[in-house]
Amino acid sequence: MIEVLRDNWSFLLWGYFPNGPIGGLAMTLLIALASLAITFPFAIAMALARAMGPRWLRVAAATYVTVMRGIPLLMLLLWIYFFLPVALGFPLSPFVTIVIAIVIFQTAYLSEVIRAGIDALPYGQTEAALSLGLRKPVIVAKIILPQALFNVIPGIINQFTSVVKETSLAYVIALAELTYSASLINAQLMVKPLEVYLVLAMFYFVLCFSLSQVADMLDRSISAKRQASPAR
Amino acid sequence: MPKLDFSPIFSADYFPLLASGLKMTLLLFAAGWVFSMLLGMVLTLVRGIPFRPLGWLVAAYVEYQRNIPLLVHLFIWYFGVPQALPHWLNDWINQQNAEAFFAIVAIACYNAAYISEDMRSGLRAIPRVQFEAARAIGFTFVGAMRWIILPQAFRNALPALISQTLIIFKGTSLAAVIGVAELTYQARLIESETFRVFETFSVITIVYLAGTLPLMALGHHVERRGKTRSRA
Amino acid sequence: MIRIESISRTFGTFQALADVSGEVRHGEVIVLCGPSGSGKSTLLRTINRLEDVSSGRILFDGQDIADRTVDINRLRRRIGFVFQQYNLFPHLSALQNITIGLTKIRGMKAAEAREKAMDLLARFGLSHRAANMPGQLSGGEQQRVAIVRAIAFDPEVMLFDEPTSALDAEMVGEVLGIMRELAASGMTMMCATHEMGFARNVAERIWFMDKGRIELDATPDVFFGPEAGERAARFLGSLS
Repeated sequence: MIEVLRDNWSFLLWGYFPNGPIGGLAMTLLIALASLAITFPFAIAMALARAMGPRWLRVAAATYVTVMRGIPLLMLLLWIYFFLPVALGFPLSPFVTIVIAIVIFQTAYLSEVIRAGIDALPYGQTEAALSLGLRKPVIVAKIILPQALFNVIPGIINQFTSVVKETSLAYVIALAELTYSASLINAQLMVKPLEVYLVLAMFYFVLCFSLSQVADMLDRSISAKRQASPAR
Repeated sequence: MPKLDFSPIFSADYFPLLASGLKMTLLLFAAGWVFSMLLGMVLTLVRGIPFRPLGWLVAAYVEYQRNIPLLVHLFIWYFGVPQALPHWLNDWINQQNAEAFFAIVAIACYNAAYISEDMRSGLRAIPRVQFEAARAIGFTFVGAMRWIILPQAFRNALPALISQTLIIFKGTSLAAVIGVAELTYQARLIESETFRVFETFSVITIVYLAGTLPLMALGHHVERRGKTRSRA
Repeated sequence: MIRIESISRTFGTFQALADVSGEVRHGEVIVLCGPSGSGKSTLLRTINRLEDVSSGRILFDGQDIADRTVDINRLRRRIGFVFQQYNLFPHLSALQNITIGLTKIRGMKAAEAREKAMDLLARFGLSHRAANMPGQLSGGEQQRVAIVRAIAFDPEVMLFDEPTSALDAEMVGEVLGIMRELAASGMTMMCATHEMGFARNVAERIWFMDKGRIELDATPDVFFGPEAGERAARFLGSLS
């Protein structure tokens, strides 16, 4: 296993860059960060829609979340890969494909995390703001959302960890992120699949475990902060 | 808007593929569910043994499974593990459906980690005094666990377990990547031959939803029942 | 029936019980009272071995309860214990809370157990609550069911660990009522409680505890009278 790592570490980390396209772990992070960045505003919008929107909007959002929770991500990815270019009329690069799939999928899940954060805030917050004379949109933007988002930072990091794991599906559309890169190495070496894929596992483990440790640490310090302030 | 034509999918050529795909998905789901529940229970019980190193072992197992994508686990089991197994065992596995075999193993090991954590939370939610009350009446340790503690732990963990069941069901789709002829695999196959992207994928998506929607409804029902129970 | 010989119990550096001795005769009603942390609960819990003692011994019917040959589970069936927090099993109905011990431990048939449980519930005015889950019962009802659950085993002695402390004022009376009835029927009882009315009217003896010791072991007349001693008087004063 050490030889596999020693011979291929740079390819696994960043592919052919700078002499070619980015790949490996760098590509994985690129996909994950791009997906999360785009998902974020949509997820906030959806969480607000479900928490305080008109009835039709709440039903529509709930349906969306239910469908996304009900189908496998792989199925969604195949939809985007095979059907979307046909519907749009122009081809999509694998990178765009996986990002769109993850964004559509994770908007549902991340919105649930944020909604939980909004619901957990005591209604007294809104009441206090209203009695000061602030208007609803301002209350949401300046009082509700900042607190809700702060409180669910560990949850957001956990979702990001899920996104990192989901990028592995880009293998299916032959995008050279970490998993696909490992499979290329395996195809080359032929006789060491166990070593290659364990090395692959190790990369994910280090990345995801670190993220979840950070999430746990933040969870502890945020909980401590929450104890300090009077609850509802 | 191109004309939609669902007939090829339900024709004699392709409907059997659809049916066998569904059968395989259900097989993966059922076997995966049973084995992950069993393994999950074993892990929880092992964790209860007052011997610290065993607890660390289980914790390490859980972290390993949770921080690595299911797809990578599938690769390790299907491509990697045979390398380390004796010939006779590999031959026997190949006589069964090797792809399905390893898919079930990977799914079971992966989800067992989550299930054991869910059960552990369910146990931890029970106040210690319940155990004392059971012993004070005269239950033995085993009797107290069997009649008083474990039933409550299971009830506490039920929403999480239903959620995990949903994840197991959706996870079966990844087996397509290693060549198991389940629903998603058949979707791609049928689509590639009939060129009816929208129709094929719609049907498969609806089949998935037919499995997941009842599970989600069950989860809601259980959660609502749990909330209205306690009054004091 | 119960003889406590110089028992002590330490938790780390904290001395919960220090050289406590006493005797409970058959049919006696003993009330343990004293400030919080005085060791009343700990003392009760050592008798059915929910807690172990660090030194000294406890004899139940002449037998050392810490003896290896003693079947602790059988011993506990002879001792009924009622907790401050009722501790009914939330996943079982009131009736099932009572019958589960009878069927699974005593080995009674289900029909027999149900009959006995219903009889007891009726005796204490709770038959209409038999099918309810603990979450649907008031605190007073839950505690009464908990007492019935303990009595169902026909124990030889009942231990009550502050049975009314977690109840709203209105419900204290109904629980004390059951305890009074039990005492009148000749049950041997030890109760840790702050209910001085109960102590005065029902107890045969009062053990006043402070800082892990029995400061005063006296009849109610003496305890509530002038010779009770300074600390007892101060305690009684602090209650009113």
